[in-house]
Amino acid sequence: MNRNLFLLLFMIVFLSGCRNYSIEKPEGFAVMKKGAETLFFSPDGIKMKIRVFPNKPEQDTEFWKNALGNHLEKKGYRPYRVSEGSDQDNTDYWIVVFGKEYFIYMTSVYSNSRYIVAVEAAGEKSLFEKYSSVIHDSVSSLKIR
Amino acid sequence: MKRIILLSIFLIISAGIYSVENNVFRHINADIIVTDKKAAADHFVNWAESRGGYYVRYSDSGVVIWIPDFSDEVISSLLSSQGDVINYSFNADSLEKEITDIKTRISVRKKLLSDYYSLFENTDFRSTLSLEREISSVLYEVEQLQGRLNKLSHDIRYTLLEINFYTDELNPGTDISSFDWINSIDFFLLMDEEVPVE
Repeated sequence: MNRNLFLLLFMIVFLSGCRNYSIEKPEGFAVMKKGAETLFFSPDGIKMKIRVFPNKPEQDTEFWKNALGNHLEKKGYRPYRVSEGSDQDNTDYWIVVFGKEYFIYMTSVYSNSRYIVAVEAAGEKSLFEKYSSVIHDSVSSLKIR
Repeated sequence: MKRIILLSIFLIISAGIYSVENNVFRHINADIIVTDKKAAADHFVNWAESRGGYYVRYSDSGVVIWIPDFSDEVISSLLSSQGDVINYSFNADSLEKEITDIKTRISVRKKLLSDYYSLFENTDFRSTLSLEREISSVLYEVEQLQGRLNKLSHDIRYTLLEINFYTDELNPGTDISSFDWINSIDFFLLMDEEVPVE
């Protein structure tokens, strides 16, 4: 009985530390992990967050990307066009005024039959552009297990 | 003699550079924050038309105009006169190779046409019909190539300016999605994230 309880506790502790995705840290960023959530911080204020959600009701990536895009547009987010080469299939960029500055907000969605992984990144426009290639590389490295 | 050779080399190189620069297609893309989209659209279209340009798109979301070549300073002051420029990109693509290629293809076809015409003199009825078919097909190709060449000549004489308008009302409001996880995706929530002090 004690042995089974020990195994169960072990499994809970072990599985809670497992993530259903892997992603490379953007170069020059600090990383912080909270359960299945990963946060990256640049020294000057760019933030990037990766979270995983159950894929329920089960739909493909295109469906979720459209659902998120429509929702954000309805909320008033304005699509932002990025330069050629920085754009990615599952990624949208938005422009937001925060205080008196312009910010870029990036949303990216990936899914498999079990999970949806959402990646967000944001920062002041010129800063975001400075880090866009490392963010791009990091998002490209995302794999769902 | 040496001076003449050097001068000739310089002239050849200069001619080459001039010809490449003249065969460049310039494309500018800009996003600007404006207070009045309609007024901004009118301003850009009037500006283009008064300087020999024209518009191909005119809407609240932006304008697409072709303008004769102007310096970067003129274009940047044109853009900033209407608002805050938040994005600006400039592309220059050389059309030299494509233009040379089309000119060669036209010249080959014209030579072919001239050969066909010279054959007319000594042909019977049946051969004449078949020659006419060939000529008509080559003429069609020449027309298509000439059309493309005209389009490219236009593109290098003008600069394409695509301007997208934004207003400063960019602060998102509220909308509830049917999918819970989507409601948690939000710029302001992300910006509130802090590194915890342990």
